[in-house]
Amino acid sequence: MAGLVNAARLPAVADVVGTTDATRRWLDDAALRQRAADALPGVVTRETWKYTPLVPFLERFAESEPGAAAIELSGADQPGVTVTAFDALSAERQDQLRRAIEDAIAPERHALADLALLRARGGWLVEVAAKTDAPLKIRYPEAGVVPVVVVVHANASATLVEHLRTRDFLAQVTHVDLAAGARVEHHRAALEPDVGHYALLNVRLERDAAYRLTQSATGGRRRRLETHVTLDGGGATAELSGAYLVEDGQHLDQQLVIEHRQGHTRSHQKFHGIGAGKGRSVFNGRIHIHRHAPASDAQLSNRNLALPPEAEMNTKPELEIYTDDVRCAHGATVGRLSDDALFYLTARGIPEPEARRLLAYGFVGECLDGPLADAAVQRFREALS
Amino acid sequence: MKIIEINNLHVNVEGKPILRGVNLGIAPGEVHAIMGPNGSGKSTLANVLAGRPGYEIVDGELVFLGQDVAAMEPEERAQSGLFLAFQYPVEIPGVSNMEFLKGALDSLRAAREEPPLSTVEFMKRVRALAARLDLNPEFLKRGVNEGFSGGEKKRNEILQMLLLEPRLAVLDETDSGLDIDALQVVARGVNDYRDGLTAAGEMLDPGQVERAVLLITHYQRLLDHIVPDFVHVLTGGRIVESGDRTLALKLEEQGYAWLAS
Repeated sequence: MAGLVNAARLPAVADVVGTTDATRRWLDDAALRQRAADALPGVVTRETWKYTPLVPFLERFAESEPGAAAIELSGADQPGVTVTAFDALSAERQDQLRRAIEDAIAPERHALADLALLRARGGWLVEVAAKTDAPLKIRYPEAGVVPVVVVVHANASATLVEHLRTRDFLAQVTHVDLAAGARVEHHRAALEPDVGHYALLNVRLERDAAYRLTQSATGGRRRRLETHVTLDGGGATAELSGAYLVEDGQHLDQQLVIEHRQGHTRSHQKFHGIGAGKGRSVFNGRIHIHRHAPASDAQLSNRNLALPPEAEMNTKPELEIYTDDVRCAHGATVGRLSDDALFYLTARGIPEPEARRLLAYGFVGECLDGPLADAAVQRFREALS
Repeated sequence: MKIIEINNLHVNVEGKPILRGVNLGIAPGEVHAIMGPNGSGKSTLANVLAGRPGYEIVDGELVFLGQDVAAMEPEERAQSGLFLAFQYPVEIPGVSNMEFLKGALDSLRAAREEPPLSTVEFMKRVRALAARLDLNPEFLKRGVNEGFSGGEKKRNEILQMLLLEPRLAVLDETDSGLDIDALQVVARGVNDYRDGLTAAGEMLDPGQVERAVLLITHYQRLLDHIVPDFVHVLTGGRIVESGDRTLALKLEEQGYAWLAS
C-alpha cells in the first residue's frame, strides 16, 4: 500500500496552488479550493492511488511555474476553429465554462485536476464549429500546468493530435466536449521521460457523438494518465485503444473510467502493455453503467505482457452495472509470450531474440494506429532492442 | 550423402517415451511418407526434427546434411535448411504476414551470408507464390494466419516452404482438414517443390534438385496426389513396416491391426 498516506500529512490546498491573484468568472476560486480540500483526504485513501504516491505530485504542483503554460497549436487557422484564452472569453462564456468544468470533473476521482486548474489560473478554449479536414495539432510545453478545453459543436468534426514532449513536471487537464452528432479522432503519445506527469483526459459525449482515441505511452519517473469518458446521450460511441511500455525504473499508472449514463451507447476499449524491465505498470479499467441505460454495450480488454519476471504489471477490472439489459465484457490478463508463437517464428529461422521482439511489437501493434503510431513503434523498438 | 539420417532415435515427452528407436534415411529427391494410427508418435517425430522445446532426445542421432542437429536450436535447424509445415499453424495478431515472411527469409539469407532481398524482389516472389496457391495477396497485410480458414493456413505453410527453399520439408498432417480443392493446391505446391521450383519462379535442372520431403499423414488420400517413393508405418514409437506406395493402399484397405507393434 505504498501510495496510501495519512490524510493528516497532506499539504494544505493553499500551499499547493498558491494565493489567488484575481477573481475570474470561469473559475470560482473559493468553491474549487473548498472542493479540492474536501476531496483530497478521501482521494489518498482510495484504491486508485494504491500504487502511485500522491504527495510528490502535490509537491511538484507547489514548485511548478504558476499560470497556464503556453501551447502551440497548428491547424487552428481553418474555418470553424477558434482558440481563446479563458480570461479573454465573454462573461457569459466564462460562466458556461465554469459550469462545464465543475460538472465535468469528478473531484473524488480527479482531485489533482482541480488543483491544476487553480494553479494554472487560465487555459485555452478550442472551439470547433465545422467539419474540419486538417488535424489540430497541440504541442505542449516540456513543463508546466496546461488546461485545454475542446468544444466540438453539433455535427462538427475534428482530429486532435497531441504529441507530448515532457522533460520536467507537466500537468494537463484536457476536457473534450462533443455535442450531438460530433465526431472526434484523438491521437496522443507520451513517449518522453518526465519527472512527474499528471494528465486528466476527460471526454463527454452527447447523443450520436463518436469519439475515438489512440494513445501510446511509456512509463516515466512518475506518470499518471487518467481518462474519463462519459456517454451522455443515446447513440454515442467511444472507441479507445492504447499501447504502452514500461522499462527499468519507470512508473506508469493509467486510470480509465467509462460511464454509460444513457442507454443505447457503446464503448470499446483495448489496451495492451509491455513490461520490458523492472518497472511498475498499473491499469485500472472501470466500466460504470448507470440506471436506466438499457442496451449499453461496453467492452474493455487490458492485456499485459511481462517480459522479464521482475516487471510488475497490475491490472484491475471494475464493473458497476445498474441496468439489466446490457452487453458488457471485461478482460484483464498478465501473461508471457506464447511458446507456440515463439516456436513458430524460430522454426522459420528467425533468431529467438528477434522473434521475441517481433511478438512484443505485434502485441502492442494491435493497439497502435494513426499519425503517431510510427513514433511509438520507433520508441518501443529502441526500448526492446 | 543423405539429406537426413535418423538413427535409433528415442524421444521422451514429459518423461514418457514416445519414440523408441526410429531409423530412417532420406536421400535427395526422395519423398517418404510416414503413416500410423493416432498416438503412434508421428507428430512427435515432426516436432523433434524441428527442435520444439519439450521433446527430449534420450538416445540416438539426428544427422541433417552430415551434421548432428540434436543439440541445435530451432532457428539454427531452419537456417541449415530444415522446414516443418505445422499441423496447427499459429495465429499471431499484430505481426503481419509480410513482416514475418521477410523476417524469416532475411534470417535464412543472413545465415548463408547473403544480403537481404530487395523489397521489390521479395514482393514479386511472394505475390507469384500466392497466386500459385490461390491466396489473395491481401493476406500479406493481415496478422500471421489471423482469421485464416484451415485451408488458408495450410496453403500459407506451403507458400513459406516454396519461399524459403529448404533442403528437407517435413509436412505434419498438412492434409488434415482440407477439402479436395485445397488438397490439390497443396499437393501441387509440394510436387513443385520436389521437382525444383525456386522462389524466383524458375525450375532447377533435374540433376540439381537436392531436396527431400517427409510427409506425415494419417490418410492415404494425400498420397494419390503426392506419390511417395517409400511408405513407412510408425506404431508404438517404431517403424514396423516399410515399403513402396502399395503399402499405403494396403493400409487403406486393411487398417493397422495386421501389423505387430
